[in-house]
Amino acid sequence: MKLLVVDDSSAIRKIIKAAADVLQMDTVEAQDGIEALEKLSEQYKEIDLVLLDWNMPEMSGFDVLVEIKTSDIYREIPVMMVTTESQKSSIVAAVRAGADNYLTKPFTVDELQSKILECLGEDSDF
Amino acid sequence: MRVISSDELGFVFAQSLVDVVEKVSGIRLDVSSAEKDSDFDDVVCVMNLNGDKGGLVFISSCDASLRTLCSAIEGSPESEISMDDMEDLLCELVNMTAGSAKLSLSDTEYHYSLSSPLIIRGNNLSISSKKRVRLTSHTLCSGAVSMRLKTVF
Repeated sequence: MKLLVVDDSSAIRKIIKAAADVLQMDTVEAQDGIEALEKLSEQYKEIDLVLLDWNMPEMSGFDVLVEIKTSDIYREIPVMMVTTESQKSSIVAAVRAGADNYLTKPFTVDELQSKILECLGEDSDF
Repeated sequence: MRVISSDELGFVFAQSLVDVVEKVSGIRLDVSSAEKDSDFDDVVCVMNLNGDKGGLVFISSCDASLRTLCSAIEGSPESEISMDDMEDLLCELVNMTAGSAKLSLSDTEYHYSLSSPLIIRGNNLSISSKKRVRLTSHTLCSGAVSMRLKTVF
């Protein structure tokens, strides 16, 4: 399994990578929306899940979500928003745009791992 | 709509920071509204909270505290923590604290949107204000970790 981790915070990327390592999953990282779409175009056949921050410079995570979910090539790749935007209106907007799951920061490693497995349809008894 | 004072508003942010740090690191910070004797730090992160009742939130700390916190969160030895790592973590703490407080304040008049946090680094930094500005100030400590949180609305 391979995760595309998109977040402008290196701290968050490291936390997610460490959690993915425990689950024996590979990660590819992007620090903004533009880099995320570049990585996706190069590796979309290998990527099983996109973990996407909302507030990023250059191109927001929401805009990346819209790009993914309106693309004939990428739309089937599940996307989980990982964000501080925890208000109901933001969650509804993300779900309407096609987000498959939603995790609010701050999160524990256990919460993150459970959500990743849920998105991938895997058993959470890891 | 719930009405809250500026002191209560500051405490919402302080409590949000406590919750954020505990959730990501397991470290429980104690909150005090009293200033410590030496209220000087190495780095400050500030975020503009945009809105009709917007303001500013500042979180400051020293490198030693941030290194300890970074190590606890990322699981890396303190010797491997860089200045970029510490500043990035501080920005993320501000981001998560502002996001968490935003939800806690959703039934009040304080509605705002988050912005990109900015870092200010220097020697013996302190934050003060003119008398008419409502500045709240809290110190948060636990063992080797000490931080200060200030809000202006």
